Amino acid sequence: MADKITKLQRWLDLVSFLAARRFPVALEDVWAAIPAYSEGLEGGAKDPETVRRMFERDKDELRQTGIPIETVTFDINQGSEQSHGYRLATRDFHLPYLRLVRAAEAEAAPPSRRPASHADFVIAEAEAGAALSGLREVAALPGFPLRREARAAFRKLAFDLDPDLLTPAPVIYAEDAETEAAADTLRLLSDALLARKRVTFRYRSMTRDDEGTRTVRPYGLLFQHGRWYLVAWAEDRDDVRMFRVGRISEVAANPKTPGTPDYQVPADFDLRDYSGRKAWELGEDNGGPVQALVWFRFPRSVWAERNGHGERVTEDEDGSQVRRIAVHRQEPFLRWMLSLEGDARIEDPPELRDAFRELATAVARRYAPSEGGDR
Amino acid sequence: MTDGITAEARLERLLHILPAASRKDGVLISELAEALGTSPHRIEEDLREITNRIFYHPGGWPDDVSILLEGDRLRVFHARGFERPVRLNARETLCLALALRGAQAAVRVGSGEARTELLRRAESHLGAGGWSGDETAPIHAQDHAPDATGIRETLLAAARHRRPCAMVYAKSGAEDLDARVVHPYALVLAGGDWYVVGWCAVKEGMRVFRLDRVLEAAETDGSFSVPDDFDAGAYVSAAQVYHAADDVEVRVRYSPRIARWVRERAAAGMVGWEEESDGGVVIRHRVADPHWVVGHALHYGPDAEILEPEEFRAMVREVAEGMAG
Repeated sequence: MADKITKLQRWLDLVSFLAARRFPVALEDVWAAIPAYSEGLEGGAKDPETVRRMFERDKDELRQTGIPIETVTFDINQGSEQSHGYRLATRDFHLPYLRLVRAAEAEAAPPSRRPASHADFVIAEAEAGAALSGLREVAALPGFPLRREARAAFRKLAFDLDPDLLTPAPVIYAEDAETEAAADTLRLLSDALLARKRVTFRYRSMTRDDEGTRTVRPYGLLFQHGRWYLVAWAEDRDDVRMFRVGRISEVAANPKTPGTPDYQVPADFDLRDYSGRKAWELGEDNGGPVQALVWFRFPRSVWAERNGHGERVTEDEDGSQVRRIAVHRQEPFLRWMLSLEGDARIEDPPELRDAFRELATAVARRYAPSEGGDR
Repeated sequence: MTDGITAEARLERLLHILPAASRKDGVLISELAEALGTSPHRIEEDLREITNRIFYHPGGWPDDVSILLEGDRLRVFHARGFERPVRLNARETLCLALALRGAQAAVRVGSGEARTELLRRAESHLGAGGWSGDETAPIHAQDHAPDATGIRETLLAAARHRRPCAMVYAKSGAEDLDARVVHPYALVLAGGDWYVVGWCAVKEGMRVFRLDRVLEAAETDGSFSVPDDFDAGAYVSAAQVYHAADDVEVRVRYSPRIARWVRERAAAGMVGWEEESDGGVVIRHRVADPHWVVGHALHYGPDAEILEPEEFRAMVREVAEGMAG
């Protein structure tokens, strides 16, 4: 007898054995044919229960890699008895051939209207290009927790395609230290998120300047402004909260009942509601958002339009515009207005306009020659 | 990425290696190593897991498998059950959903409906999981600058095809729009913002453009080539993109009230800072564009102050006095 049969070898044996059979195979036959199982039985080293558990675990692990071994019930003895068996149909786990159609052909008969086939997947050239470049981008996002899976998906879709379609675009994603350091945390969080398991972690709160332990139900992960955020139901707050992943440490998912979700994400939860806002923009000042009218000098007005900052109310001949912006929180809004270096001016409401002038005055005072000379 | 030696990692690789080598002309080991992000040595080890059993296996599948290695070229025959890659698993399908949703995607499939339709078809025929309903996506990458007019796609296509681009640019602090013709060498995502790095034919020099300030872009006739010594990485420093040819050092002081945020940011950007006795911090920024640091300091209101050089202080003073009315 050679060395011990490795787990990988056992898996390969199992897949190959089942894939070669059209009909379901009874458990005893699977055991007899797969050396890692049968040797255990004959040698007496493993009892049937151990082998059964090993087989069940193999089945689960293979399913996760995309190889779904089915359990089927079938009749024996002219239907007088029933037996269980296992089946792995290649058409269920082999990737169909990707067949590219050119633009004109795709227009004449859209891929979506063609009869589905197990052997072929018809895809328009533009669609394939979008899928592949999109996968490449997703995999390149700094700290992306499913990078390995995105690359695997890319390899699979690229398997039948012309390499010319796959020239990488000249795009660079600058990594920063926080996101790089958060890679392991992100992976743990995304595992918990996809399995719907509660997690406990240490969180460094910047607004309160302290660190504490939080228990949350992950609802989503968001990448914006170059950072990752966890959107989750915070059990101690009874509300949805946003956590910056770079401030999370010591993540532990609930180890009990793996494979069974701890919670459901509410049907009306939409992660995109949290996108486009910074953590400090969540929530609102008392009384809900204030509608502000802001005058933008040309060409900043065109920039505001292109980037979706509010809606245009009026436009002047010189290209300047008055735009309406919903202000959720006054303080960050005013500071943003300041950073536009005089290219924007608040017209209405008067309280907001006065608050802005006051803030600008405070800044001007700091730079006044007589007081600024202390350093 | 799949460089591990666990059974899972090896299986993932073999599920690509075996079908690729089962094709008519086989496959080059070097190509496999690149596609899998691993070394040729690792791939040879993976194959050994199959071959080292042939001599004792009691009639199982490895007996039928033939593995031929001629130089770098690998061919496999009769890899029963492994002639094709396997379909996408649930997580891989989720990645495809993210890619097609075009959150960051460079090239997008026309309409939202077309994307959803493609994803739905891909889910039922290529993969697993139920991600085609928009609201079920548990991971989302925000597109920082809304790009309804497809400016990034235009620039990306131009960079790919090496075609000069005519751009309308709103330079910070400028009184008017700028017309430029740019050879886009590369696009960079840094700190949540997109940038174009390229040769500006109007200014006859390398320039960095922030994408949210590109208001129009169109490919022009002609073509360009990227110099051999071009290194886009040289324009990225501390998760910021700038042209370091003529930068100045600017000292900015941040108040104790905001110092912890500033320290966190600085640490992430691998920038040093000086602690002040009252709990405030001072950072020396390398600045190529004065408007960047003026806007940056103003963004913190009275909680930040440019200490030097004096001409930058004067700029802030003038702007702030103007805004104070």
